[in-house]
Amino acid sequence: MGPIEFVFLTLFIIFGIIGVMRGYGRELGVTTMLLLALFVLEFIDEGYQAQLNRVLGIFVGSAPTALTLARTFVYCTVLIVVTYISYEGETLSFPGKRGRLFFDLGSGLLNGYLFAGSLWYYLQQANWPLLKLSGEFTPFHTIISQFLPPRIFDWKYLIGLAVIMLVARIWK
Amino acid sequence: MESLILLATVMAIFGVFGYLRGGKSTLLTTAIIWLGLVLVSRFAGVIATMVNGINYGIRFVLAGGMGALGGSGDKGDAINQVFERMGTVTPLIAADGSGPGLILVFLLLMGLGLLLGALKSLKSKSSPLSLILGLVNGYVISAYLLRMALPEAGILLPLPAGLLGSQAATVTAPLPAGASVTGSALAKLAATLTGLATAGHIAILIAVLIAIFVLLAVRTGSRNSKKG
Repeated sequence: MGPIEFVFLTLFIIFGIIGVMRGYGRELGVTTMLLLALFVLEFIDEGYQAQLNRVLGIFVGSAPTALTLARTFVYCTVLIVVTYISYEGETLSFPGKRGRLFFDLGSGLLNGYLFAGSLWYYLQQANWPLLKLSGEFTPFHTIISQFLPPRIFDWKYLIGLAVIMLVARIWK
Repeated sequence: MESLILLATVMAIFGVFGYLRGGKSTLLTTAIIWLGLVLVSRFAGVIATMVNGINYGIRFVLAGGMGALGGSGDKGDAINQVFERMGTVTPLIAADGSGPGLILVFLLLMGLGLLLGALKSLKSKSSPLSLILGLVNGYVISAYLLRMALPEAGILLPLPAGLLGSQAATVTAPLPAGASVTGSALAKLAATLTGLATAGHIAILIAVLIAIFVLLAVRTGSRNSKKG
């Protein structure tokens, strides 16, 4: 038996390792991109879900389960694509090189929290479409589920944090 | 605990391999490993028939089967003598796929993936993506091997249902039986945190912590670059 949160905690740790390898200057650029991506997703989810459902309905029909699944697929795809582009391409970077473990590891874990936590939330909303789950969730899962980024932050927090990041980037 | 150490070790080894070899090489290795998993889980019966057939054929040839088929005289008798010399041939893979046979097939495919990934023409620049792919490979391999080779270890790491079909993970995490002290303390903690999260206090707290962390990191970086 293996709790599902183990998968996401592994992902979280992997991002921490990547943070240590790349340095916090580059990791904070990814954090900014993730915050902006999450802002867009949350903004659409809160304000324009009906319109999004209409568009998705053209492809998957109007059944609520199919629409939830399609929304989850779209949100997860956007997150994965943005994260991939942020890590692979020439992207925003902040002052600071690797070598300060606290900031390197902290920024990597922050990205892991934003990425893995959001995937966790969206997959949970769709009732775990890719895995066959059975049994009860652990108390640990129940607690952590309360702190996943899309659950606690609405779009105002996300855009606020993204603006702080951009101001910090240009602040000499 | 040993299983988790094994998992972490295999993931770390494959992660480092992935990072050193670059994206193209690791992607090919990933594709072969995943293909191997699909084959050994979804087509176990076909693989068992093929491997056992090849094994039987080799034993037949080694026992002089080709000479018996091509020689003059009574071929029926000659072939019967070959069968007697062969004796009982134990199948390498059981019909239901149990036993070490399929694990060996998977390990062979994994080795093939690693060998092909080592081709010079596939060497490319190290990237975080290749590290992630390597770690994913390590996870998938460990999850499969733990499931098949050490079922008594009690750790059933989740794998995508589409990959394993009927062998897919049934990820379970039962609550502790009875109202233990730890259980009730956790329940209270969960209730308190849920209350805070609902009221929005947690959002403010985490947002402030993130902002402070970012500002500290950026100011430290700025000071260092001015000194440099």
